[in-house]
Amino acid sequence: MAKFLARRAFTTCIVVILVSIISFSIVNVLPGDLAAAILGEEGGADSQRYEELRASLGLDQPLYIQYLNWLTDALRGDFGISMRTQEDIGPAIVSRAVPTIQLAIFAMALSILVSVPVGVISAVRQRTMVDTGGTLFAILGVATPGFWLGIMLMLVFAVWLRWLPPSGFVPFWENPVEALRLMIMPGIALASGLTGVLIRQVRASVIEVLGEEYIVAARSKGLTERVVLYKHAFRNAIFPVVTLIGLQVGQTFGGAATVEVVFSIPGLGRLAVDSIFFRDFTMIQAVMMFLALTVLLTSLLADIVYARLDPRVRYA
Amino acid sequence: MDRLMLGPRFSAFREFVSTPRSAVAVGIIVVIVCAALFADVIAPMDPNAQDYTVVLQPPSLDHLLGTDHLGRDLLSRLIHGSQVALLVGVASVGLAAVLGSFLGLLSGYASGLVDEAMMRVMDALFAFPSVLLALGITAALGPGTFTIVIAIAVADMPVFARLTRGQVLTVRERDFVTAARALGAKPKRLIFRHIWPHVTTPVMVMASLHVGFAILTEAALSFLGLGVQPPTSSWGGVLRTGFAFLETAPWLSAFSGAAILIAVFGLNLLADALRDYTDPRG
Repeated sequence: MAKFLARRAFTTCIVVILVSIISFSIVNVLPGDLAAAILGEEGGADSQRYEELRASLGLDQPLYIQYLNWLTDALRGDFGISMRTQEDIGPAIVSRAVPTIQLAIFAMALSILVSVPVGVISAVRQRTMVDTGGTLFAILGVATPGFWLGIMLMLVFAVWLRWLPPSGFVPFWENPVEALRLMIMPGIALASGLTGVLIRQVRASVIEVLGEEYIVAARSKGLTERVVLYKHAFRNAIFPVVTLIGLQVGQTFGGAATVEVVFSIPGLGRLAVDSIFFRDFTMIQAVMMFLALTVLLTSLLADIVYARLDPRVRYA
Repeated sequence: MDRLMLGPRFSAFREFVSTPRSAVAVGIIVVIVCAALFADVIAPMDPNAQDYTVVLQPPSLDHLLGTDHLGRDLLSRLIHGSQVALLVGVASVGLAAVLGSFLGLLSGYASGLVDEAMMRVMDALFAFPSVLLALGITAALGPGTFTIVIAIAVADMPVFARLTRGQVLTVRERDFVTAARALGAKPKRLIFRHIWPHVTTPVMVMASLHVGFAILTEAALSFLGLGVQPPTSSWGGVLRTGFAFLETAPWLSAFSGAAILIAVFGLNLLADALRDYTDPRG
């Protein structure tokens, strides 16, 4: 167990370094540099000011030195200053992460609540109408563009029926009722794809476990089908689902970009989109780095949870 | 026509489409491919023709799916939009599958440090949410159809690299590979002649699934305004306009999103049917 985790942590560190290189280089292949962008069109003509600014930003250094400077600052939590809003990037990202994380947790919870029962029922009633319905629902979930589902929900429940507020964000701890009312539509929009993926995984792993010998043994010693299903089958079937949820965190963040734009939620996804529109290089770097790190850490966490849950991994 | 003359491939196809699921999938895909290939013939109007006398008209007999804020016929725009969707979907996934499988083959066959290094780079690419990585790459290269293809291909490559590597690792230990090696086959021959054929089927299944995902990513990028640029008609672009006129012209959003949904649904159904067809154990 300790050896497994140590190895896992070590490779994660290497991947983190590679992630930082990718984040850094994406921005550095952008046409034009930071100094030109800060000075704007008129200022760019003044070559002396341009050179001074380049020097003060460290842009006259070789690229790998620039990278190392950026990385060491980033490790101290200093991501620099946004070129667009002039605010400190670190605190800006933390404050914009709150809505995204709240929305992602809500969507994932919603997804698990729907997909586990649907997947289990599909598996138990394999090759019946119920199963076909469940599978069709899953494929539709995966095929639906989440942000479009959000727009359609907004049209029906906010524009026509006026049951829900069309957009906005409130932190959960400030006003839980209003927060939930605001999160229902974006939450469903963000959950649709994940729900489809999870239903299929739950169904597949329950079917696989139900074919195991220990299930036959449990049945033959006279346990009720309910006990066999919940105590023996479900517990074993849930492991691959945990791993998959960990892997889907990234997709959920990606989906949040469009959903946040649709519902005017001031989260990280919208921050990324806005920064790209306004060519806010320093911010793009930091947001990409932050999101990728979160994905890596949750996937590491999912592995640890998996190891805690499954003794076969722990003692291997 | 004599059925025998059509050969074994045709009878395999007939067997494949005999289930309702694959028949629906093939049906949807044939319709979309035809729409894309013959867009100029099928579309009732020029997708870019503006007519200010029929701005934001709801669906009617003149304009079956209504018109947008410039009086352009929505049905014609959606039919032409299928070209972008298919082009981006197939080109980006094709590129991702070729590059990814090549890296996966090398990685799985080479093992050791080379394998470790390549897989960690794939892990790093995989850590970025694909829409975001694609957004970053489009920002770097400037928006446009070609850029989107590159961006989605890079974001999708790790999936194919991992899949291929996994297949190679199981196949390379099989007896026929050992036998071929004992007979003196060189690595190049081992990889392409003996191992590669066992990798193609899962890669094809994965590719058909990912063409659908690529269409979703393209739609998301175009919806955000960073994808295919106007006036070229793309489903995500129409949805972007539709969202701006949600209250006055909801049909724009409804039909453009439905087009994306149907296309991706057909491709996912196909991937599903292909997997069951090629792997009866599953």
